[in-house]
Amino acid sequence: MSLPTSSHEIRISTIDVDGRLDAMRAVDLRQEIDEAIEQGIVRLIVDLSRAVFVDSAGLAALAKGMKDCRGAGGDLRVVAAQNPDAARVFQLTRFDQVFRMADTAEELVSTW
Amino acid sequence: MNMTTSALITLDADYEAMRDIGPWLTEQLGEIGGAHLVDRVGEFELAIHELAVNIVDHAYDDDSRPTATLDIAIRCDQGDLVVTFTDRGQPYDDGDKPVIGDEPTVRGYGLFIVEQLAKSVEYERRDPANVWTLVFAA
Repeated sequence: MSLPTSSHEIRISTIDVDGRLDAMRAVDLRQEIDEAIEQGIVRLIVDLSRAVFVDSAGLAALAKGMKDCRGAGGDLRVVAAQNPDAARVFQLTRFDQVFRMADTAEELVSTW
Repeated sequence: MNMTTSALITLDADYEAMRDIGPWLTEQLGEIGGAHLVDRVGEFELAIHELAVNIVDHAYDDDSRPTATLDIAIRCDQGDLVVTFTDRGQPYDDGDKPVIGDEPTVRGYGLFIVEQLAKSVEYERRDPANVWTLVFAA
């Protein structure tokens, strides 16, 4: 007896952010996230492992992206910054408890 | 007799100019007697950056911003770092603070972050200027 099977695939895109994610660059990130969602990619990973500075504008771009992705049935997850100056803003605002975060993109992908 | 040394930077009121804050702090902390604080420059940069961006966003409008500037001065006082911001924009209105822990608010965490990092945050309107003073504990 063969059981009916079905297969499906999901698309996950990763956006690497190295250097600064500040008020200037947050605009670019928002645009990339919006473009991904318009293309139907609603599972996004933003990799901050090489970021050296994140401010509240960068955080806001991530939060808006997460809200939009979740609203479309997906999620935006974050690879944690290794640099303490980039990680600080997440701890101060407690957004490290709002985003699903991990040390590598592979960890985040494996739990989707 | 005590001598206090200050350092001052004048920045254009735009986001790009805010990127000068970190290198300037790194360069000047030792010069003003703040060598003991050098390891915390990232912490200071975040708070100063957040307040400066807040001033750029709220003290000026699209007409006034292109020619506006912001002065930031630093000095050490009994080991503490004292940072003074002076701008000639609109008076500060504190009616739009975020509710922390609520559904992610899209902007507005800047001053909250400043308050988390600084020992004190003071604002004073000295017409025609706004003067903010942050103190970071040694």
